[in-house]
Amino acid sequence: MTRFLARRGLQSLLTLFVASVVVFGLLRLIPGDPAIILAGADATPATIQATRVQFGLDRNIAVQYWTWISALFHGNLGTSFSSRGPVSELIGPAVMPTLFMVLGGVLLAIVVALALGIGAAVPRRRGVDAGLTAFASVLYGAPIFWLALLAILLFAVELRWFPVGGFVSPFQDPAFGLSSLVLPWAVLALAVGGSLSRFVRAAFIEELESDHVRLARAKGASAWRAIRKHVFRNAMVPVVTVFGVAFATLLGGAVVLETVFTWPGLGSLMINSVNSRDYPTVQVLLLIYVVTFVVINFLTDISYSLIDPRIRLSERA
Amino acid sequence: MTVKLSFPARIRRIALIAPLAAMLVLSACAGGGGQAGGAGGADSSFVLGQSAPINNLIPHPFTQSTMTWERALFDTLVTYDGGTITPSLAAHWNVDPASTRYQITLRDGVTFHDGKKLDAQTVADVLKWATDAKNNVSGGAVIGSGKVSVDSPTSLTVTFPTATPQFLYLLAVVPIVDLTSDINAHPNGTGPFKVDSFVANVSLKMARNDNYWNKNAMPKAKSFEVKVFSDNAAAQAALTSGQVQALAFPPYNQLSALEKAGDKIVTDKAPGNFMLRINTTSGPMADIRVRQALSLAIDRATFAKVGTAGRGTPTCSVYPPGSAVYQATFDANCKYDLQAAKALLAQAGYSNLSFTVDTSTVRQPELASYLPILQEQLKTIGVTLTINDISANLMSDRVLSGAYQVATDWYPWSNADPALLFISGSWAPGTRNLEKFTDPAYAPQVSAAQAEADPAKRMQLYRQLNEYLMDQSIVIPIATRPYVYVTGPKATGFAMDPLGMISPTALSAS
Repeated sequence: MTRFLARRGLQSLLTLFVASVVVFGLLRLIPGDPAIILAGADATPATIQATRVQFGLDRNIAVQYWTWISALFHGNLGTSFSSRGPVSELIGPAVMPTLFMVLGGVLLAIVVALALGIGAAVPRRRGVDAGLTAFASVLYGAPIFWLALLAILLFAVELRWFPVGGFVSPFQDPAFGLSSLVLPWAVLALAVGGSLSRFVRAAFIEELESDHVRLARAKGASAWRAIRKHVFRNAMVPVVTVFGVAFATLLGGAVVLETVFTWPGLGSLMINSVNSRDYPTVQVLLLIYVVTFVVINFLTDISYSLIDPRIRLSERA
Repeated sequence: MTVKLSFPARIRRIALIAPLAAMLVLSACAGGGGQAGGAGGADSSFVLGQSAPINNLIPHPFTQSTMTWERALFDTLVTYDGGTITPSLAAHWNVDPASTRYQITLRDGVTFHDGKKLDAQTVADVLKWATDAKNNVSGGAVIGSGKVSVDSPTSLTVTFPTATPQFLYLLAVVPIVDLTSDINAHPNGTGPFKVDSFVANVSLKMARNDNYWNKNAMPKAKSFEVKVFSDNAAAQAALTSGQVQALAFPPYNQLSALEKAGDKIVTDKAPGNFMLRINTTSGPMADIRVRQALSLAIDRATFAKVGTAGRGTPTCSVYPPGSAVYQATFDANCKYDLQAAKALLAQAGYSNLSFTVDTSTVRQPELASYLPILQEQLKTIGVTLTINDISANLMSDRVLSGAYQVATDWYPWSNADPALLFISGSWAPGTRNLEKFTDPAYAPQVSAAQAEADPAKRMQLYRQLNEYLMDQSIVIPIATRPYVYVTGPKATGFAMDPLGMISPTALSAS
């Protein structure tokens, strides 16, 4: 276990370093002079040059990288070009909305994926499998922004059951806060759950057709006990990987959903920062995404050994 | 062999009923109508939606991003009511006949949101701050040409080397802010509202300033919030559902639908025009006949209908109809004549002209939607137009670096003092000129108009300048671009000033 942790730790640091260089370099390749964008189309040449100097954009790119990375090591995330304040003050308030949306949405998506996937894998009637699979395919094929707009149109504009968008922390206003989460959660649950249910169905079908499940039933185990004791854990190993990737992807910011629901999360912040060429904020956000993927991958690997004790971490590493 | 199994019926029932019950409870608790006003009228909360981002609370440069909340947080020394300059933080002022010396006396008893007294030194500091190029204050260069001196705690003098009659109009868009406060996120102003909370690009919540100096303009609403919507469909849905009471600058093509839904359009005389910007150093565009031909080939009436849903007015005049410079004779010869355009191109030796227009569907959807029509119309006279639809940022870059041939845009600043038009790089003579226009006759005309002290002669000089610019066609005006707000049925007291800023005093939501 110690060797596993040490090796993964070193791998993660190397990944982060390479990511920081790639992120920093790639951003500077995007067309558009950030000083011009910040100063505005009507700015005088003096203003544009002053803006370049103010944000260090007139310096050599290697110097800019070193300034940024050394500040990062001291816990200083830098100064946003657009807000002119610390990057941490932009990212901090954006984390909670994204966590609320994604955690709740993914948990519900898991429920939907398991319900649709298991329901399709263990049919009582042939039509149930076909029906559920078709339903999951519709959800998988439907663009998530379309689902979101449909939900807003029906439940927020026509029925006025829920707000159109915006986030209020449920800790501040539980009623409004939770009601503002319903539509994003529902859309995430259906879109992501529909997509993941195919993996769940495939994994469960494979396990249900295995010899040890038939033996367990032949020995008198009830249907529910057979699933619980013999199918579920085996089927979940590949499914956990898929869930982990989906979760990490969404934690990076469900950009489309955040835009449609006017959600002040990391995804919206990323879009705004890219549009305004706010390099410091984009750089930190991208590194956060990399860290998120690294951590989620790590936790996913740990979970394998918890689900199936036969899997040894030294083999996974 | 597949094992057939069944689930307990009890679990199925719970799985179906529980989420439905939870949704019904939550929707009943919150109502879904958003945070619309409470009792209505006095002490209500007013929420405005806008798509322009609010990156910080520095009220410069003066753009659609700042116009919705500037007057709420800050006051200016003077205000412009569309005809005259009226006192605000400045109680009165004396201007010498040559418009070179301005002596300003401040109003008594004005305090900032934190209780700090307004004095002449604070105002002088703001004017000096405005002249620093990095602060990007609209008109800062003009202010910077003058010298500021503090005469007493309540008066200051600004002296210019040449006539600067536009100075008072500039003061109408330079908010007075306490520079010792956190001007990025929690600025200290003197306005009728103060910052309650601000999350960049999400929401600016302001609470009524109960110690506001102008008791006649005390706000009705107890709070005023500006919410940023990055998606126009979401903004429109928020207005329809009542989550916001008004929208700022929605796309023109949404206005008909909003009107049909019972919302009200609030607009005023346009501060400027949609335009095509011509790089006069780019191949055939250097020839004045080619530029004039292009102007003749633009179907302005169709653009006004298609691009602005009828809200804009076709015009060839640089100064829009709302400007004191404008005269109806300017548009008397504003023609759409493809054959005349063709003849002029033939005269110039460009019968098979090809050119490229840079546009941005995101930044100027109105012009981007019109260009395919123009493309087809020009084809009939042998002209090939290539549309280069790029991001707004890349377009700014290409224009500022001169790497474009023709570009779409619009310009403001043209319905107040006529000198203000030349603050913009689109019209500034010299090396700043974005069209790279270097006609030696241009700069002297601009300087002469700006230096003229006699108001009637000054206006005449600007009219001549208007005709000159129309003839040169370095920028081709197409139609007026009015600022538009949309209010929902529960909004009352919504008003905008001639510069397009919201007047927050009477806002309320029933």
